[in-house]
Amino acid sequence: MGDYLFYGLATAVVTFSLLAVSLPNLLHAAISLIAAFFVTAALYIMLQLEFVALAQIMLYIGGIIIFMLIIILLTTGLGVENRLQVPNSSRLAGAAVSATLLFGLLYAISGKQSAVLVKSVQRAAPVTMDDIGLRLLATGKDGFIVPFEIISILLLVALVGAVVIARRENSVSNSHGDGKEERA
Amino acid sequence: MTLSHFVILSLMLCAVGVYGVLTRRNLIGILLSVEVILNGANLNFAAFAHFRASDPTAGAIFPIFVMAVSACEMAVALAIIISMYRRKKRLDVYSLEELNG
Amino acid sequence: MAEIIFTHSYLLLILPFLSFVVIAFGLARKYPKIAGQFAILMAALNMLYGLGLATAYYQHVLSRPELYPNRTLICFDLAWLNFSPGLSANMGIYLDPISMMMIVVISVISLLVNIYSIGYMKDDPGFGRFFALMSMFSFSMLGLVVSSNILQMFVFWELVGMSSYALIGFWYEKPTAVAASKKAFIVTRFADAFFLIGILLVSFLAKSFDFQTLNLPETAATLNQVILFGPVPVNLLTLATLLIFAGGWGKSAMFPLHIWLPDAMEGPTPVSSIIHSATMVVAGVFLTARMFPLFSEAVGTLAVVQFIGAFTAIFAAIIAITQRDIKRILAFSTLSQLGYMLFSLGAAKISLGGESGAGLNSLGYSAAMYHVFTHAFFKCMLFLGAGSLIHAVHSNDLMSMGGLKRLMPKTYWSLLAACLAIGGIFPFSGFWSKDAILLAALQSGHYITFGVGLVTGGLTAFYMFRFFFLAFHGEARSELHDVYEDPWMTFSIVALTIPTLGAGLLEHFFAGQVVASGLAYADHLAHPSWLPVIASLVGISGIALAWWLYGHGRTDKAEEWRQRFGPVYLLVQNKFYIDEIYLFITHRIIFQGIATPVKWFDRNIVDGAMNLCGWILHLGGKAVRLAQNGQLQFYLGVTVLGLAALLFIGAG
Repeated sequence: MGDYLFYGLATAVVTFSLLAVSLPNLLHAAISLIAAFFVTAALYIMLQLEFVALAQIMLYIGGIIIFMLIIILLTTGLGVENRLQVPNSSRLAGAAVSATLLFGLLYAISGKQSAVLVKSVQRAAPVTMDDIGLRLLATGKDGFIVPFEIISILLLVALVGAVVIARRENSVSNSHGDGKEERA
Repeated sequence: MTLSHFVILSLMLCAVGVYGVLTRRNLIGILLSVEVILNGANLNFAAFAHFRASDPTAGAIFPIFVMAVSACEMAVALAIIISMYRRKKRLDVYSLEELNG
Repeated sequence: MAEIIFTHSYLLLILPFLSFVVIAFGLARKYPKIAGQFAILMAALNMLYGLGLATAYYQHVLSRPELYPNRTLICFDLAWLNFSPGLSANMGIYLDPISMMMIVVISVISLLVNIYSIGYMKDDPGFGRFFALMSMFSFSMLGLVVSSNILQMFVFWELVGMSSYALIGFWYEKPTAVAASKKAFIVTRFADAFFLIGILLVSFLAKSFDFQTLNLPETAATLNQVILFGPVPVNLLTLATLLIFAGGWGKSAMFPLHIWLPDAMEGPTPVSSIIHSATMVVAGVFLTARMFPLFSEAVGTLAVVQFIGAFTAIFAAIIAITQRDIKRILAFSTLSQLGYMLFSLGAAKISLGGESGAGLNSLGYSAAMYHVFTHAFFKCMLFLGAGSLIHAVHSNDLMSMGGLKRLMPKTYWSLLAACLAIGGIFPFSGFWSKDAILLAALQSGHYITFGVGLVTGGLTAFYMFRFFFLAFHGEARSELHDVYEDPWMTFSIVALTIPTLGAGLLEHFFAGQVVASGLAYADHLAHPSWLPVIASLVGISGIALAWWLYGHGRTDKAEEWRQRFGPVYLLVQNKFYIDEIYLFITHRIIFQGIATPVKWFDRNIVDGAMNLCGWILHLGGKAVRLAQNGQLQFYLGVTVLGLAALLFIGAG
């Protein structure tokens, strides 16, 4: 039973991902990516990592992809179909390269019958939120406090950086008063 | 439902994402494809966390870090896209040829 | 006292060089008059020093043959370039009879010509520049004659060539002057290339540049070997000496490299008088005399020298008969007299029925140098006089002169003395020196050369008096305005009559002292007493013929003779068309035949190969550039492929 569920979810996620990368209309592609994220969350629950699944939904779907939708609507507009043509030779080349990568990766992992992998068929203990929380702030050898702090700084930097990059150019001369018009 | 299944699944997702990066003509489309790749990678981490019995907690924390970094990256990338759109009015990656030789 | 003079003998060179520097870089533009006076001052000091040096040399060296058996004094010899431990080129001052004689000649004539130039170049805008260049020439020529080694002589040889170039082309706005200076430089430079090869050959084998070493019999023995040039056996000594002589061939304008000397008359007359009559053109004779011991050991070299000298003498004399430009007449006369000097040197080798190496006649050597000495003075005076005539008539053409005897008396009497000297009439200096040369040729058994010399003597007298009568006697053939004798010019001309008359007294001195030492000279040579009589008769008959044809300045008799000779006369007057032959050879054969294909080869094949290299690189660059198309997805694709490759390689 669990196998069929897995295969179904796997098919779904691959299908939605394929749609996300190939649909010419960006809005449709973004929606399909949302679906893919949902299915991935389901896969996480299958792996008994509920916190990760919830974090996936909140962060990816609720944050990142929404942001992308906004930008898509800002730049390409709703209903404006400016589809850019991709020549078939490019598609073929891209497919070939990614196929090569896939086979390379599969080949790389195929030869080894590691004892660790063979052994690990059984399920591990479920991970609770307390565990995750305590581990994140642990200062010992297995603690993730330092990456945690660094990630928060990274978020700050990204925030400031995004604002700086995306702001309008005519800021210095018009900083006092919005009603003034730009000099011609 | 072994580890191998999940690994193969995540590799396939990565390949799909790579195909998208190489093929999409719109810059935002490329970003979407990058998200697909990251998604596949996250799945790989989680699968190993579940099937490796010794330290599943670390395997649960990593995807969270990946998501956080991905969020930062998307923020900056989309800011760049906005400013580029303002300059050029189009987001066609074929036209970004200024560094050609 | 003598030691001080010898130690400071470098002053001989420093004084004219200083004069050049001061005038060229200071006085010439702003104070030309002072430039002229300064030049004269330095030339006078130089002459005094030269005469002092001569006196010291006479007292110190020549009077003490036991101390100086070679009559050679090296004042100093500093190492200049060290090529290798055995081979070093020095800079030194070398005094021996011929260089001493040349020092006296050059310094005296230089002073007199400088004085003359004050008058001649009076209104010329390049007045200051002229004196600078004349000082430069004095420096170069003095350096040439006192050089202690052949490389130093070559340096000064080229310097003299450069000064000559600058002075011939002095009026650089005249295209003929520019062409003449180029021609002179190119012809002499062409000859100097062979000279340089000769220098290198000799110095490489003899391991030295010094004249003293090169003239030793050991050097001749080292060089006297036969090598194979491909299939042709060549005696190295003959080859080397002929190559060295080639320098003199060009500089002394022997046939066929004589073409530059008549054209060199485009320069101002003082230039012609000092450079192209008295000093520079005898550099070739001087070189041959300097290297005489080595030349005498070589088989055939002196024979070549003799033949070329004799041929040029009579060739130039024939052409001089027909010329109308007085400077050209004098130029060909110089060529002819240079031929005399060289064939005298060549005739120093005694031939007894055709044997080679049959001993040397010291009179050949001393007669040649004696003729250099006397010729310098009377030829200089002739040129200066011609300059006075040109100044008076404003034209070089003989046919626009005439009747100048009454108007320019001092010039008349001085030039008469010079013409008598060059004609070889007793008791003027030319008689003694020509007589010595003819005697040398006769004694050595070269009868043909003797005959040529005799005939040329007659021709010389004839054309010189043709010039003299047509210029001074009879009626004026053109309008004469404002004829006067400039005092500066006349002073020099009159001053030169002293050596013209008096140099005859030095005949025994030359025959005794001015000889190359250390050679095996033959004794008991015949001294026929009929020789001076015959020579004088030939000279007088030449003058008589000139008087018959041109006496009282008339030209009608000569005209009818000219009609009779018609085309032959035209041939001779155009200098046997040698210049045209040269032009033909250079334009048709060398330019079209050789230079143009070589140019094509250079432009298309050599440059083409370079262009091909560049084109290949360009193509390569274009190919590589295709990988730099700036397309993001292309770059990413390549990255992913690389990653896949790494995976395949790593896992495999």
